[in-house]
Amino acid sequence: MGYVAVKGGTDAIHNSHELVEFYRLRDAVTPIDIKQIRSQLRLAVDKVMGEGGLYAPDYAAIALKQAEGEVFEAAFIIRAFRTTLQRRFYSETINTRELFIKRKISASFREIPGGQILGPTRDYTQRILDTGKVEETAEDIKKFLEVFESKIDREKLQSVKTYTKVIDLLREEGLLKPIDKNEDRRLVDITREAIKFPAPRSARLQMMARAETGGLMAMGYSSMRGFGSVHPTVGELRYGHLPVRIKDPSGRIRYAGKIEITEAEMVSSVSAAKKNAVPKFTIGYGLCFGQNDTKVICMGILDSTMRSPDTGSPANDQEFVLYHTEGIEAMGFTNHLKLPHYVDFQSALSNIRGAIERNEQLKEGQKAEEVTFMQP
Amino acid sequence: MRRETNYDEVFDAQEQFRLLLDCMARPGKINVLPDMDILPPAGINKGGTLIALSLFNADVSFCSLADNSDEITAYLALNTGATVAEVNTADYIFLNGHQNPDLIDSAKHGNLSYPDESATLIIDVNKIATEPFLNAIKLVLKGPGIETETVVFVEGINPQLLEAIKELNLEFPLGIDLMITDNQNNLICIPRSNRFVYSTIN
Amino acid sequence: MVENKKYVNKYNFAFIDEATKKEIRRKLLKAVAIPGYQVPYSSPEMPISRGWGTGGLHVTLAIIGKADVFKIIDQGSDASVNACNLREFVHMMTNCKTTFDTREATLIQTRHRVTEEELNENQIYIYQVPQPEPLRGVERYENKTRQMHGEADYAKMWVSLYEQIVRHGDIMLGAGYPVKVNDRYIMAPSPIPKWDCPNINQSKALHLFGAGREKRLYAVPPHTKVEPLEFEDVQFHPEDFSTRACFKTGYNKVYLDELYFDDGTRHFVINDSNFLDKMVNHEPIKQHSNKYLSELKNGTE
Repeated sequence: MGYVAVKGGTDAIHNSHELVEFYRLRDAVTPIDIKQIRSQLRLAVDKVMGEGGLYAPDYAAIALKQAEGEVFEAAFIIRAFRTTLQRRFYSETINTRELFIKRKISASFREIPGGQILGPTRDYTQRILDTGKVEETAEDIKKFLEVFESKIDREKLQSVKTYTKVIDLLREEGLLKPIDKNEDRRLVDITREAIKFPAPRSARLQMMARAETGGLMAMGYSSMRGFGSVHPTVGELRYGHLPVRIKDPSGRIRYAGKIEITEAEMVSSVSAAKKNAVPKFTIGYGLCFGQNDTKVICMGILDSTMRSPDTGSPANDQEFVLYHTEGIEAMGFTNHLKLPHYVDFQSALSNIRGAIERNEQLKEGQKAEEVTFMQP
Repeated sequence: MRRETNYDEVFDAQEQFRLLLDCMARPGKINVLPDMDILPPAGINKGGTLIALSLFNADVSFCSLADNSDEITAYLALNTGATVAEVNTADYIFLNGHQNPDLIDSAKHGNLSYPDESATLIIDVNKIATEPFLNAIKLVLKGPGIETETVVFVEGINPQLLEAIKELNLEFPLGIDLMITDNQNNLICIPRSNRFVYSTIN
Repeated sequence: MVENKKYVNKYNFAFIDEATKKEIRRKLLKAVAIPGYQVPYSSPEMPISRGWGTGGLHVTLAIIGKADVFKIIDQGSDASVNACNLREFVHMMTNCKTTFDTREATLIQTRHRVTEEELNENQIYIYQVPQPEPLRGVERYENKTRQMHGEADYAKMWVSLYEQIVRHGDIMLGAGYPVKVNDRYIMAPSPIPKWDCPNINQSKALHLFGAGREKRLYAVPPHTKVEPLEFEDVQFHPEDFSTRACFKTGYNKVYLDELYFDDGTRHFVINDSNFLDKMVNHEPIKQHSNKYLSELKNGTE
């Protein structure tokens, strides 16, 4: 009976599951604690939340542990988990002017309101492999934290408020291009309905917020490097945390919690389309969960590029950008090539064999013709 | 106004959806919806109500053109969470078979790129049967889902309404789809892909 | 810290939440009402990779009920690892009876095959679709293919088929051969072999297609005309197995797999695992009937 084969398939899967666990644990000295992942692999957790489309650091840390640190896989697990959660509320519009600033820089002005605040960034670290990390002990960590915290001026920290944004300065001076009257400003929810093209800006930004960082980077880079025309300036890049509020059934606005985000406003100049029209600046916007400069910068670039459709530049092509930077989908489909395809392949074999046969018959026929030609 | 608590959102909805799917896939085939303990207001069949309970949630909009539409609207909104809309934007439109066909003239019938963005009519009639009976209208259906033709008899539908529906469905794939229930919980569907002719039985 | 208590009994029947199930159901009804037209839908993430049958799973899980009997095949086989995995998942989420017997099943999910055994009116046949857009090969933009379908403007498709004939003497499309549904929409029947296309035509069962990654649903109702694209002088033809036969049964009026044994010799075997089992066990089987099959000479049964 063919059932034996069925059992074989199921057994193979189960054995493979077991092996996955074995490989995850075989050289494990001590189990990694979720808290350790949350704190010491902070940026990986941020990526998983961003690409997984769910702000839940603990769950992201579990997913990372489960996926042996594979960020794509962890983000995928979080996406699937998200499907099982019911959406109880839509948040009130988030106002990023309320951001509690942890990092804030602008490349377009030397000084900006509140000053340039580097915050936690690796931008100016030397990427020298620090073998000292091997020796790091709990004692070291504790000592470092104590010294660091003793240097913090609590009062000054309390006084940190919010600051005017660079784009507000530009807008006040009338340097920004007003919003195009024809711009599609519908607010859609890409998790509730499939994206339709041409997609409104809300859908484009949502897709990018969940897109894979590397994918966005490749597209954003391509536009700057030569396959496009946008080469923007960082108007402002901010990282910090923000309050999220919801409206409860009685209509009262309630504080739900805070989320960490990175936000970029990328300034680029647009040459006026019409003759004698004045050139102005436009803003490309990017926002994602957690700290991820690369992602929001590229998102900002692509927000600009997609607003001037041009199928000659991949980055200016909505369908190209949005479909192909969706990491979870791209990963799934790329990997599906591992599934058996022998039925389809048999069909292709049948076609190719037929074509070769026809070609040989044709050659035979030609030879025969040649022979007849030679005869007289 | 009753809040329906006897309706199982998981299994009742699934079961009734399957009947709807079967009816939509086999136009004119009669399926019987279960006789559930629900109490819709006057002017809407239990069958039509069950369709709403099985398919609606906050993501859809509907509109009732039936007599007593205020009460029906409030009842359906309460029990499904669906939003109330005008006839020209509603995803689902409830009406009574005897009503004036002009009411549905502005129902959305989709566009060529997205013909699915169109309304579904949920029509209340008195009786649906496979055999002829007095005062019935004989409907002969042809099209996808039907091997040769399907004949079904309906009482309580305005021929002018049928005419208006034919008009709306002239330009396939644009059009609207029908779900018709009677007061015995019988259900038939007529998708836009089907063509029908009708005649009166005396 | 996350409490593990949260995970106890947390999954809904059939995994997907009810609001999303309803959305999929509404879209399926529209898909059935407009045969061959691709309806966009939300396509929530599944715990299965995109491209591994999420669309088929969405359809299955949105329509399945407690009384259903579920069968799933991949490349014609109940034994394929991905089929086994999805079968376990559906069973775990619904507790529905599963089967390998084509006739017993009420829902059959498939990747790349239509069963050789004829389907009946009580069955729903669900396809996993990688690329729902049959025109994607001739037009890369979704916005444009939508318009082409809307206006039934299939000139680009016909030109492409014609070019293949000029170049290679035949239409070189294999699995996923484009079909025209109800004389209106050109549809991708999913990568089933050409052999299977005639078996969707005027079928007794309802056929539902789910493309999860591309977020599209479509349908072919029962008794609906489904015609492979062809020209009057260059016609559609299924894969030719007339000079081969199944090494186990000697039968050849079915789709065959090509196998290579350790000694390098080539053999053929019936692809449909349940059909093969039934044939080996001499159980009664009613095969599909279509004009291509009836033209074939009898197998060396």
